Amino acid sequence: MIAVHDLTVRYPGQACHALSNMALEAQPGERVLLAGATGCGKSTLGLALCGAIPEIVPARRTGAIRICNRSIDGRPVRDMARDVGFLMQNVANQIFSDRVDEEVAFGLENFGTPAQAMEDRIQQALELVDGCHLRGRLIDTLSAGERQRVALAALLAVDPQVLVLDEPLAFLDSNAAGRLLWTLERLSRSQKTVLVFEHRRDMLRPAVDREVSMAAGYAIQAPPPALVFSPIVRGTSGDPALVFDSVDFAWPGRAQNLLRGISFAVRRGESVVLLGDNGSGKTTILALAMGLLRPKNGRIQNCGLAARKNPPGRLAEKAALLFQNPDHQLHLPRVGDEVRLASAKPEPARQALSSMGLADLADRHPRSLSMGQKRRLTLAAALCRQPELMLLDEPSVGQDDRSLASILEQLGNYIQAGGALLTATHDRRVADALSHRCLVIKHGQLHEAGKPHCSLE
Amino acid sequence: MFLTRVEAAKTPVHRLHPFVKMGVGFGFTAYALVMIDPRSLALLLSFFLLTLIVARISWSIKQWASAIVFLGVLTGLNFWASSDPSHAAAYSLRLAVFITGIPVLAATTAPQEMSRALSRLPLPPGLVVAVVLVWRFFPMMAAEVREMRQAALLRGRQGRSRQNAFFRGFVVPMAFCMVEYSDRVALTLELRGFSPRAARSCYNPPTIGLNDGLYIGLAAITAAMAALLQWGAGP
Repeated sequence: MIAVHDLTVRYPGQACHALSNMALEAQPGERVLLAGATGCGKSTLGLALCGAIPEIVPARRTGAIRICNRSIDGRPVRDMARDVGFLMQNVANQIFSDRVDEEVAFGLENFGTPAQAMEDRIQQALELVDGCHLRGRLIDTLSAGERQRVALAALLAVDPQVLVLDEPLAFLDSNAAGRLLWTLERLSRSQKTVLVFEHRRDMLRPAVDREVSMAAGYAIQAPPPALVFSPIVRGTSGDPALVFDSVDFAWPGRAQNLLRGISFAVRRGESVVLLGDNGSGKTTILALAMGLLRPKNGRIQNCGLAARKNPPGRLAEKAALLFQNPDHQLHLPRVGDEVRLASAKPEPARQALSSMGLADLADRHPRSLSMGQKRRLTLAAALCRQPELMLLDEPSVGQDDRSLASILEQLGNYIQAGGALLTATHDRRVADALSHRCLVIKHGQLHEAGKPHCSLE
Repeated sequence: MFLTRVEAAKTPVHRLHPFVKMGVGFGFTAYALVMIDPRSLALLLSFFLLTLIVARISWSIKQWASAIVFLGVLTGLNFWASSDPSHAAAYSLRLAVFITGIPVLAATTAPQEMSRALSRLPLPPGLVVAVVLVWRFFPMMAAEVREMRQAALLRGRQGRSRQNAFFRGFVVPMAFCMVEYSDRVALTLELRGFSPRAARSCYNPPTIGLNDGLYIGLAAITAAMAALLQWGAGP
């Protein structure tokens, strides 16, 4: 179904090849997991497989790619889209419609599917991703994980023979992730070939037939063993750095509260993990803590300051929030400047970059980094400021094992130094490593799960 | 957001054919240009306001107050210039008709609905999708600006001038966003199987129904009453 031989890709102006003599084969019905360090060329391979390189993305490609026993040379990308469905890392990039049904129908419309056949195919595709309850919803109101499900359903509706999924688990909660693994199995039974690029190998391993590891543009057949992340050690427990007291929150114009009676505290020297399904309100809690949103009722105390009475900039002098999407938190022309601005002295800035594996990229523009690198850069800059409290939203997205280990090590040091940490995540590895305590949001209410239940969410 | 969007069950106004809303909107706006009687203009304005109420599109008290103050000041200035209260009121009411007419179509019609309506016309598919992309661009940019603003709020001034902070925190990311948007749209449209040359089918195409007939009828009655108020029963 997929046959790649001697594939070499080089982007204009780059000294190194993005892919070099890459070889890969996958049979009908086979599910292949491709893992590898950030920047090893996984997304480039995805773009090459669907014909976007060099047709749309300028790059020099040599070697042969055959999909469904046909060479992709000379085939327009639009034609390739019938055979290859590519789910991108950032699904917001491939959404065109306002509502869920319309988004799933968009691909069908492009291929001229008769209107009467669309309804069934939309329903089936949404069932496959456990997204029937999302029908009719506005895309803007969906959480990141829900959007990912809709984007996948939109690909499945077109019924391509090959699916290439770039980090599909990144924003999915445990239920949706479980559903995705089940979907992969169903697709395999219907003789679809699925190629998954994913860092969370532990989750996907039971659902794939084969695992291939990539390193610097090559496919290496024997994957290295997955790293085991040791739990971080609790620091000396101190005063509460963050206090939520009976907080209610509702979005403007909505009668129903998203959050009801939320009460918890995060102490200095303590790391708390926030779990919950997609759209349950984890990101909202972090925004409330920084005063970016106003609660309907209740009291929020951030590092001794009332969140309601102080502007976010004042709270940010003591606490740091790292967004799910790091793009807008990076605003300087060079990577090095981002950490230098945050640090009082140059040496800690250099160390912070080095510890996050970004030392060689100090002169690059932050926008040219991969999503995982950008996330590590925002973390390095935040750590340089030595905040009393850190709020992290999905810190593991886009991180390979080694990068994640660096992040966890730095966060461990931060906790040891008396910092307080609240992390919203779906990633079980992060939850297990970072949690001194777990909080689970369910139906707008917060439940204390305790450490042993973290993995069960 | 300027107006509250209704997400739950669509109202009868949302279900109207886009061309009917567009026709009535443009028609009334053009009609308002020839009207000089404040009562006629008030009638047209009432029709639009009623449509917005049925569409459950609401303004906050602050927005209402701002609009009333703005129109009040405009009327006052007009009266000062012309010393004719009827003339001053007509100008302000005409402007109010223009302003309230815009959301009747824009806030109750999804881009996809508009593109579906357009796809029934003999237009190139590229043009139809271009309408969707342009329509989608603004809410997408609004979401980006919201995130930029939040990031800027968390950054504070950090010792830089306001201009520098604005340039680095808003102008540069905005420029990146726009360039990235055009790049990724070009890529993802093709990845989703779109071609400007290929024929497309249409999911759930809008059709003219009883609702539309009723709306056109009500608009016609309103227009006739406005004409009656303006020009009287006969010459």
